[in-house]
Amino acid sequence: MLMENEKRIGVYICHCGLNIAGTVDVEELTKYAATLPNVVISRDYRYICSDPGQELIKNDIKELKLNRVVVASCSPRMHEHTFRKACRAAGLNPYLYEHVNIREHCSWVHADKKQATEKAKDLVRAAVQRVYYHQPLEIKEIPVIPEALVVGGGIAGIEAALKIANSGRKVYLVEKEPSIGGHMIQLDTTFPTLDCSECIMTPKMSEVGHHPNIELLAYSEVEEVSGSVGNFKVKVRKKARFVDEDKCIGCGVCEQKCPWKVPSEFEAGLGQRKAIYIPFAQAIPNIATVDKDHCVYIQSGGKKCGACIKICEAGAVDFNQIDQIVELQVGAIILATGYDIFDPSQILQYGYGKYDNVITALEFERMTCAAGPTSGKIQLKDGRIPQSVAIIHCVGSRDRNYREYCSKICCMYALKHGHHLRDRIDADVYQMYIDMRCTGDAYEEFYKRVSEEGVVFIKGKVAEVTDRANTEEEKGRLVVVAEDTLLAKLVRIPVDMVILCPAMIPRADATEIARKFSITQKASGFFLERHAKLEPQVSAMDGVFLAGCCQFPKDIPDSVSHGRAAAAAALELIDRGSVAAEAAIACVDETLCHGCGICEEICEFQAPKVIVKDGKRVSTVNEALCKGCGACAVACPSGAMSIKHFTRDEISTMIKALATVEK
Amino acid sequence: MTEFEPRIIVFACNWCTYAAADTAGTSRIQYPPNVRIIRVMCSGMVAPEHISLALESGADGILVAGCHPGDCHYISGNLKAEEKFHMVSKVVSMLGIEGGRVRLKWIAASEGPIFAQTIKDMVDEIRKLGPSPFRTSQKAGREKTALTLEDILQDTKAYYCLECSKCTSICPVTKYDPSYSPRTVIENAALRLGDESTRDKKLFSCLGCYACSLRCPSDVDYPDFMRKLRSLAFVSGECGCPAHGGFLHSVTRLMARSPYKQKRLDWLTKEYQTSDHSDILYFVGCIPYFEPIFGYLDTKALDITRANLKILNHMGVQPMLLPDEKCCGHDALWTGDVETFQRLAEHNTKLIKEAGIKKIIFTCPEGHRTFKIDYPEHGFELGCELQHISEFVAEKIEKKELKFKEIKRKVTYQDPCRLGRHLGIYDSPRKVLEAIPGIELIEMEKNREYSLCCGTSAFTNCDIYSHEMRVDRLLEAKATGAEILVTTCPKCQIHFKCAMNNKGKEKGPDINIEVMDLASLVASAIDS
Repeated sequence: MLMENEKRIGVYICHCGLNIAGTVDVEELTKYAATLPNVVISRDYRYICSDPGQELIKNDIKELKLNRVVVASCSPRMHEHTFRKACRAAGLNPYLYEHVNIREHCSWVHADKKQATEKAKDLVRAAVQRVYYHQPLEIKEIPVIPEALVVGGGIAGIEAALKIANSGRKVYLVEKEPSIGGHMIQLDTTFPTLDCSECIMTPKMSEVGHHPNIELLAYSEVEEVSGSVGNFKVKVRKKARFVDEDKCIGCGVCEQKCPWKVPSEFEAGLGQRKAIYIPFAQAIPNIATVDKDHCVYIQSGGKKCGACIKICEAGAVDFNQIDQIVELQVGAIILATGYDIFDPSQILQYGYGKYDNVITALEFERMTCAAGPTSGKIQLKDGRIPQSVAIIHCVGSRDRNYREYCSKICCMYALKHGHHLRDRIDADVYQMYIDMRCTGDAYEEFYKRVSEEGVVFIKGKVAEVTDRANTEEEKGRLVVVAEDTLLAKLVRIPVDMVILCPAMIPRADATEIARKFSITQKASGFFLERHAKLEPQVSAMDGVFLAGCCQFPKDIPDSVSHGRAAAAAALELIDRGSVAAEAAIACVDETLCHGCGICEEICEFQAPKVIVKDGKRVSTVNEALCKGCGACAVACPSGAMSIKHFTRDEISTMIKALATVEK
Repeated sequence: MTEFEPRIIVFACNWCTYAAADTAGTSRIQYPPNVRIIRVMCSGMVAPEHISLALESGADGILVAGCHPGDCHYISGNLKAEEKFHMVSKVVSMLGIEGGRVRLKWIAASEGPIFAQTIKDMVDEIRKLGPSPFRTSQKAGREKTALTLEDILQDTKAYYCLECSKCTSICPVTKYDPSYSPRTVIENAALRLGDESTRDKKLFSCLGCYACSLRCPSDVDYPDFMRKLRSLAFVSGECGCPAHGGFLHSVTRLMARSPYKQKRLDWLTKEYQTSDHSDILYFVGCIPYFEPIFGYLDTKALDITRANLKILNHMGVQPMLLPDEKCCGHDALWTGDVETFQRLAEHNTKLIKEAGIKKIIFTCPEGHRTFKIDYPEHGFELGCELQHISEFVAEKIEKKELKFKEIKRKVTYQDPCRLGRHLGIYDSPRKVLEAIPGIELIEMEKNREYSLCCGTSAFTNCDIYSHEMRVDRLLEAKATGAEILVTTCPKCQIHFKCAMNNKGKEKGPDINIEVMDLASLVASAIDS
């Protein structure tokens, strides 16, 4: 008969094919595990994560009356969940399970079989000793608010918002600019099909604007996020436009009459807008916005100008407007905050900002656009048509001095620009590249097509762009200096225009955003996904998903897919209706608690709170808010606070098991 | 002989460094197999006692690794970890342990190569440092005590118990925690004579305050009985509920087994005169360790040692300070860890004898008591005069060798259990207070042998009842109308300040009062 407190532990050692068994002597390890106290069964298996592997565990739990399970296999980040589920299916509380990582942390990083096996033995011993102290934890289900928030109205955010809205769920879409559209709406054409970007984007934007399930909060920014998965509380600052959204009909008369000109963000600085403006013709919402930094009426404290107030027939201009804080409650959040463009003026030798005709690819994009500031005319600063153009790839990308990663889309848009230059003005085009990376559907074919159109490809990173002429031919022109590495020859190419392809970089406020949403960034600064391959749309924070370039540079199709994947993940959460709360959380031993409130002060999530109970001050933990980080337990002077599943006994026993070198 | 293979413990945050180690694995980046990773949810989950326990267990190196600042999954857990780590580093360095053995590093999930490199570097460096001396040291509590329960009952005269229950009626613990009764503890022990009496966590609730024994008609030494019973409990793995995660106890165990020379006198600046030839020793005790550990309470523990030196110097005494004196062993002994106590006592006795000390001055009543009563009882004879600083000052006042400037303050005085009921020193501190012009001493309702304990002893079982006791004592102090609560024990000060450290929104009664050590008050009354 089973004694009441008898611990019956099953240990399972995975071969993972040869991934583990190639370096760790699994047979010896299995035999060793069998000798450890309270171990009832120790088995090895080729792939324990497989169905039959899991069945083995489930059967043992039932037949051998196991009440604790240890699996030594890959990283718990991979399969802890799998085996917890298997335990649960066999009627064992999933928190009576302990995972040992003998693949990523052992067999894959050590070559010596003897040493790796010894290490694996230590890790298994520590786990067996720890699992002894595991207690069953109650997994509580918390209802999920069936609404979602999407932050960022570029193509990824728009796709995500539409998918969720079309499934019948309410979505809030927060966009910090006056209009949604993101970078994509600034593009002229898209590679490799060369279809008009606006033509495919504006119907989507319009759908967002009219969708009954989408509440668009444009010109707004998220201020504060609290709560947790399923129950986020989000404060959004709706910035004052100084234009009444309900009254403005978007006629644009105010913009025509406004006398104050400002470089247009939408035109990438190539054109101008007014101090009161609608950023572009197809803006959603189609409402004017006052740029308060440049509006003379505001800057003069209402003493000067005021032309817009007078001209607006709808009486929409309202300089008394102030920022509003809107509070939202949502179950899931999708971050689609996009990217910034690397400022190429940092690379002094390329002369951006110094030479008029060194421009960025986005500026060129606006130049080729029929609705752009030059009405689609490709021209130099002085209005002449360039005879020859160099396109410099990898400006700030693939460069350890700036950004180590490849920005992924530049090769392709550089080809597109090359095509337009050949097609529209028959200019000589030089693509200055390191490697051509054309990996998408029909991308390689497009590369071939552009090559055949007479674009010259020079493999070599440009050393400098200069106006110092060595020859008569170079005089008055920009000279691109590089080594053609295929010919092993230094080249100096005189051109009229240089187009730079700058790196796509994390948003300037990415760190601030990451903090607000409690997510993490990668070394590159882009947001870290939970799993690079299997969960690229999920952040490390439960209930917060990632879409588009905020995670890593992407082209349009990838952004769209990513946005939809994030929507599916958010919907999965919302439609499930409830979410299992973290069970390994703080708890208070009321006999030890002094009610000093150090826990209350230290917690970032307002989980502990001191209350008066039977006349005594004592701390309590709000289980819905606690994330189980352990800060309170460490700070608690009396030892009243502890974290379930990471109790003093559990951690101490591991330390003792692993720190002690057996003589 | 096989080459020394360092054993390194890594406390790795689940979200970054643990994942970085996974990344290293996925990328097959090889690193030495000397490392053992313990997964924690956040580096902020790593408590000081985890690091000290790893050291005690023989780890040659310890790495606490978390997310880069700003990247914490829990917003600021890593910064909290850093704060605690700095405290631990100070303690580790005071113990004399090489700093290279205990490290903190931020390693992001993507930084697999950095993780591998960090391990390589650490293994290389620790290989040079050599094996941790704690690898081979005898772990506390492994040795069976020579005592049996029967011996204890005999030694402490517990057999004489009449079951009159005077002890329980007077016991301050019982007053707050009615489930605790000294009488029944003795009764149960006498009846069962088994292991069970040592299994009870309440065994560690006794404050050893001696309120009971002073009233016992049968002369039962209950605190001693308790203490010896605890030594049995300790051997079977029971140690009550240690406050501060048991870090202080762990540090004491490390100190007792450490071959390192401590660096505990960094606070000693040139303005204080000490002499290596003096035959008067100032036994500093654990105060230098309290400074970082209780920094969060703003205890300014070292003010006491500085004040003491100022007084001694003022009186023309340039005492000797032993840079490698160790904890007196009080807490170890009172929590049943006799082996650790004996190691410490042996070390201190040897050191003091070698230095040719004739007189020892204490600012800590626990050290005083332990040297005076427990060292001889365990066979460690020091053969020198022992004096608490209050006695020293009182003596000087009597001889009219000391004059004070006026300090116009109303004060009340807390008799520490060890100084009062244990050693019978009630008058000296009062004499000193009364000698300072302007000081008005107002006694609390419970004073001298009726004094109430500060609520915790040996940093163990500091529970809700301890806290209530402290609150009541502070209310009593406030009720006198005094502005300052003077005490002569650094631990009383820590405990009172802890009670007043009220961080929650829900505030209890107003118990705030200035708490000051007698030495600090005296030093401020000296014209220098």
